[in-house]
Amino acid sequence: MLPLNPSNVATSPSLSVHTGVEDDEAPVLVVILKEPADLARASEQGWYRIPLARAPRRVGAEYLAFYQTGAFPPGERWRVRWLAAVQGYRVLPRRALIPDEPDHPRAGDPYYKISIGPLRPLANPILSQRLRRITFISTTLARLLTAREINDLWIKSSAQETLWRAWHILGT
Amino acid sequence: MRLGFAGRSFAHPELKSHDSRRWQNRPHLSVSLVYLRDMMVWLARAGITMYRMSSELAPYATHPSLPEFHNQVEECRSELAAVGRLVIAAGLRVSIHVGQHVVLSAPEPQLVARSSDEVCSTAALLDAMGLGAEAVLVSHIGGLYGDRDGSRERFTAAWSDLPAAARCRHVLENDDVCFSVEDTLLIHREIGVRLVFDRLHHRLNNPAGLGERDALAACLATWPPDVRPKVHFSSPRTEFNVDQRPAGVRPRIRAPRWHNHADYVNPFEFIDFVRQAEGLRPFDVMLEAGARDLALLRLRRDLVRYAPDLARRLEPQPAALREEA
Repeated sequence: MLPLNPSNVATSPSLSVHTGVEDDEAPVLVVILKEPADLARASEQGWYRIPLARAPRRVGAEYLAFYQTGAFPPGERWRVRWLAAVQGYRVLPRRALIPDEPDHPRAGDPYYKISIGPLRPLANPILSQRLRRITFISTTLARLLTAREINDLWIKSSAQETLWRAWHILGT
Repeated sequence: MRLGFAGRSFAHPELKSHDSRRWQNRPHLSVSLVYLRDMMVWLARAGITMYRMSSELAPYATHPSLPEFHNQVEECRSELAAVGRLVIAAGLRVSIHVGQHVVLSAPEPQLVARSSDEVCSTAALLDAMGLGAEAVLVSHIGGLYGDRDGSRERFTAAWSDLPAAARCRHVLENDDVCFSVEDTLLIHREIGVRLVFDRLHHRLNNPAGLGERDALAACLATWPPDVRPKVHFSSPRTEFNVDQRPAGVRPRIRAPRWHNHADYVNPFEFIDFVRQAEGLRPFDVMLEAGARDLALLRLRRDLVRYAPDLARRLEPQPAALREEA
């Protein structure tokens, strides 16, 4: 069983969604949960961390989605199952985030502390069919909610589609 | 000469300029700052060294009915300082153009008070980023309200009442309908506010018939010697405007209106503009073009092709010229 605090998991069955003012183009950052304890922290304490030194090109997002690695139990591993709305970002040294490890070699390094709202289950978990190595993936809410497998999350578009999207988003 | 663009990227439409969520979803300056950091990663890759940040970085920061949003600059002191260090390290010139709702010349005291709050909040944000005097906030004078002199006087009074920190950041731009360079110069002489020369607005609204070079020179002279002035440049849109209508209804087609910005910058107009400024002090140019960064990248290529001597003045120099050298 996953170490989730039920009080911190949204009761709505899927993300179809919160206040009714979500944007299909809302950016989503898919992040990695290396082990179940990371999921517990995200759920119970409401945050996730990314070291600035290893931050991807795009960190900003309205939602975090969580990819669960092979360290999770069978039936939970190699998939994106949970999503949470981003509430804010702080830049803090690791020792402020994890005070139990003051002597960690990266204790003084700056990290993004990303505060999140309650975890929400995806109606359809997104599986990694090919078990490719996953790092961060920037995608959109619409893509996340319709994806069947991890490869569907990557935004691949021609220059023409990119331009069309830019016109659409900017309302020009 | 640095070239800049405003707001969202057309080359990377997935990059956001600010946290645009509605208040119900609790947007926050801290999220906008991470979007700004992501945008800076693209600017660095593209060699773009001037950028107009969104005026909504701190969402609802001065909204009178949403006090829970009013403390964002204070809440993000360390994050603002961190992003400011990135801006400085990248040699990026940033600015903010406050929205049209900021009207320091309004006859209604409440509207002036709200406008002053917004100017102060924006200046505080730039201050918290630790940026130098090149990082300015731009506004227009406001409406005429049927009394040009009265509006100018109200603006002058409201500006003079701003705290010194806000006045240091604030610069004034001539607009395309109400207040020309002649008006902004009158205000400058009275209170010393720096002036941004908007070239298209000057072509559209110049009742005094000031020559373009003279008007530009006068605006540049309002800046201190150690702060490089900036100007706004755009080409007028010459195409039909097509208004989409509901399904089944034919779109409405209207003739162009010259105050609309073209998607790209006409390079020949730009070259003529820069050539006629020969001998004046150096300045940076904020491009106001529909295609944003795509227009900037295209203009850079056009300058290399059609005016390589001017392209050599660009900061940074286009790669084609660096390789040639």
